[in-house]
Amino acid sequence: MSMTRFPNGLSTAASKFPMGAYTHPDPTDEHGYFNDYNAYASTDWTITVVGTSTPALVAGDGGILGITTSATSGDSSFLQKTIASFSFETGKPAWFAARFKVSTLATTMVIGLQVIDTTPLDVTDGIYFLSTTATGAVTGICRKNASTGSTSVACGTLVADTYTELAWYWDGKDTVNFYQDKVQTGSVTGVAASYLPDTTCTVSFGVQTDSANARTMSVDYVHTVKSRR
Amino acid sequence: MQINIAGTGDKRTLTVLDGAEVLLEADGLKLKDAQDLARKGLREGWDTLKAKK
Repeated sequence: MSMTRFPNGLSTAASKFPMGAYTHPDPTDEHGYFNDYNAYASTDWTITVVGTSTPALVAGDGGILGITTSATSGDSSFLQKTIASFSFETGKPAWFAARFKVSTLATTMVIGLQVIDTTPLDVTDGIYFLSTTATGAVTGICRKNASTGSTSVACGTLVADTYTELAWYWDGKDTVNFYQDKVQTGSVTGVAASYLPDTTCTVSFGVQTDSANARTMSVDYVHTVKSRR
Repeated sequence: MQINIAGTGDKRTLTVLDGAEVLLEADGLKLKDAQDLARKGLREGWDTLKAKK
């Protein structure tokens, strides 16, 4: 495969701007967070555990964060990046993608951007994915102020012990598109006026067991970006 | 920060840790009450909760 080269640089800034002669795209165009889980510091997170759980890196290609619940039905382990630093605005698109798997279905799983809360399965604000059924069905949720400002769409299916990528895109206008493994699987519109979260959110994910068995969520990567333009 | 809710039924123990520092401990709680108490700490600050105890 041939390679395209830009030996003189590649810029996203107009030449008159301070970064105009910088030879890379201006990294300040977006505010973002990416973790491939080659490294993990528990102190970066608010971790809410029912039962016992100690999220930790586990051996495996790609860098993996393992989150295992204890084995009483309803036990859970949720991580939320401290401090919340993503707000949603019209005119400023945002993106989220995460690759992960759950060990078994009959598991409740959540992943996305949410307000920091002790009950991430039912937060007041966020754009996130939720799976609560034994079928592995995934719902994409866009929510402001809980049930009074919540819209959702079926947008995927989990398979036990199988990695998948879930992603969403806020277009900065009025729509959130949801994707599974690079394919658009759902969309919600009318977001700007009624559903766009109005509280600062953060990367959030976790797992709850729905039986008397431990469940494990393995997270390969999380990536989220918000445009500054 | 680590928010731990241990135990079962209406005898849950809530422990909130910031590293080795214990920010809050409470026991004899239902799960929802433990979650609500921790949520209050997240939003209002742990020192505020301690002052009210």
